[in-house]
Amino acid sequence: MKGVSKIAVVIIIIAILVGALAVYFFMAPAPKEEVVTIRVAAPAGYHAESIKAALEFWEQEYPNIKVELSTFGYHDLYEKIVLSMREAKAVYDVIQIDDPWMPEFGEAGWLANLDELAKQYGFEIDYDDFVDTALWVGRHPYKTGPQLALPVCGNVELTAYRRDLFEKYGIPHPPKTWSEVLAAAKIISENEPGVYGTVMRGMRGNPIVSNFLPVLWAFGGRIIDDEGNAVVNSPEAVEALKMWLELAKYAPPGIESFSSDEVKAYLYSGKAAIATEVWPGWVGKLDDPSVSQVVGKVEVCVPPGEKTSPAPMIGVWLLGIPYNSEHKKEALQFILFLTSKRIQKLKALYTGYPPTRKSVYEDETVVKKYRWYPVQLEALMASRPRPRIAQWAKVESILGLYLSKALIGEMTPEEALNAANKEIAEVLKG
Amino acid sequence: MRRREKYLSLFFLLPSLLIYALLIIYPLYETFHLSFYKFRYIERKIEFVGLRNYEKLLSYELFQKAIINTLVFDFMATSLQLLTGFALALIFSRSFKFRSIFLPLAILPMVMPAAVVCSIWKLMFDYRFGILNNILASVGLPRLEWLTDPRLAMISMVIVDTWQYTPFVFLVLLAGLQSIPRELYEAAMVDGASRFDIFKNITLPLLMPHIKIVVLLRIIDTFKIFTKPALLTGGGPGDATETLTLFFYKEAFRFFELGIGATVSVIMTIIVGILSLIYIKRVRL
Repeated sequence: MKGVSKIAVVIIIIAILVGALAVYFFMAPAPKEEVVTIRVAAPAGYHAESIKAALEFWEQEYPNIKVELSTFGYHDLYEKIVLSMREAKAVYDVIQIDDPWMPEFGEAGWLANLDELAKQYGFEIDYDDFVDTALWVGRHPYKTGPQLALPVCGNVELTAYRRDLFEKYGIPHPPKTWSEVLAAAKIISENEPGVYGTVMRGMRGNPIVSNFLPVLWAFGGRIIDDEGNAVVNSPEAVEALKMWLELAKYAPPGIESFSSDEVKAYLYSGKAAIATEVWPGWVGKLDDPSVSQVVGKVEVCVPPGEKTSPAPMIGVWLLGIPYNSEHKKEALQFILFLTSKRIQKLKALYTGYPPTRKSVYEDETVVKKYRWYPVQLEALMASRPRPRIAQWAKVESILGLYLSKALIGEMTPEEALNAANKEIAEVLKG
Repeated sequence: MRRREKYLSLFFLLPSLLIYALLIIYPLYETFHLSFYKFRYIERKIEFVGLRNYEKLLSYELFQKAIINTLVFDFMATSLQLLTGFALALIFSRSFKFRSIFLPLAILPMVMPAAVVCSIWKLMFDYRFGILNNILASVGLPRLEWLTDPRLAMISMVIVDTWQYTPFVFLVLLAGLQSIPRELYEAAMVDGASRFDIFKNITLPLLMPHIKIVVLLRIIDTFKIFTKPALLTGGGPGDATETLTLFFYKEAFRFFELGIGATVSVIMTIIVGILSLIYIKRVRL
């Protein structure tokens, strides 16, 4: 009797399961349209925030293209992209690329040609509205090659200074040359208690190199010449480094480890008169009294020139499509959406994300919110890219080491640049 | 019978031996093999170069500095952690008021993620606003450039690592202290031994095995220091805090020079292997 009831229970359970499955299959709605999912890799922080803000509109307008966003720290993102490119099947359909990575990715043939894709799928890219310098870094070879990525973040180096202090001591502003910056730093730091003349990024690696480059370029120095030779120990470069070290003398102690956080802290607390290098993402809240003690007192300008006209460094982020993506059409649609005038304006207004289109920089409501946008556009149009070589990461690392040695006085400017040049030449040889 | 048992035991060991071979021996061999090649991952270029990677690295000034820095750091951090950990263990081996509150607090640093530890210490090391310099200034001493003075940067790194990993030494030694039979102390006290004699003749010898093993573990672990220089100084100022791991990370994952990266890790393995062997021989572990 007991055995029978056990069997009965099993049969009933099976019957219920089968019934449930049958109901599920019969009742399930027939799939309507195919939903495609594209995977996007982007840097964490304000980049990711701006994409998330745009996604709210995207989801309403393109319900059939789902976006899966993965965000990483800077070096992680690079690592993930490089490793994903060796997979047979694409890991990402859209990748956000820092402009110095472009030569390497372009040479490796990792990015789809956007012009061809647009033609193939019948989309139009209105190149005229984008800032030229930002478009150029998205081409490989630089400026002349096919468009492999579209600029989404119009980052460019700027200079910020305390207008009130410049006016107080009768210094003409904005400073037009680095010599003027040095003179102003001297006057202010000697007369204004508790305020340092300058604040700069001196941390070894990318920060110190980014901080030095505009000075180097303004003196007519270069890292690599047109023939591809290392020339960072030229007399112009030595002179530039000497100027840069002079500027550093008026900076707070400890700049040898300063990166963006420290520069922002000194700028926002009003403890530094001139930040020789700031990025659009850092200055967005200067007029916000809840975080800034210098509301309305800080002016942003195009970095000064010296022997040549100003040469701010471009640091644009771009969106590209990996060669092995299986959803190139949808990926392109997403890129066109994120770089469109309407979405760039929204991102700028809501998250302060730097646009790459001239029309957004000149938009009235945008300029009303960010008074330095005309300056930013001017800087962007005058900007220069870092050397377009696949080995840039190594070159930057070498230069960063020797600049740091010069900053702590372990080497003279000549010694440091000679040593850097020797190693960079070796890297360029391959 | 004996033989069968032997085979049987081998059979049971087989799975773990296989896993060992797959996860340890094979990668080790691959790394060693790769160190004889120039391998640019992004360009997919592989070229046999013999010993040239070793030659290049060992004659490269920054790499030499990285070896020296790592060894100096390892020595300083391990000794300091042993001293402070031992002192803490002695304090906590007796019962005192609020011991149960202080004990978890003393262990806290070890369970914190290194990234959090670094951002806290970076604030404390700050020249103007940092608490360390504020304390120095309040007693009339000059402020120090903790992370940016090339002579001080490595010592600051040692301080942070000691703060974080003293609890590990402390816990191991505390367990050791508590395993010493109480009768020994009682007998010694009956015989009228002084406190110092008790420490020298009972505590220290009986704790020795624990000390030896904890020092070995710290030597190996400290050798792998990465997060602290990466987040606090980026290897700077100059090359003052460049370590082998930092060097390896840059070559392997930023430049994707896998051949050079493999060579660095082979050299690291050799150094840490020799260090441990000498240590084990010396202290007869």
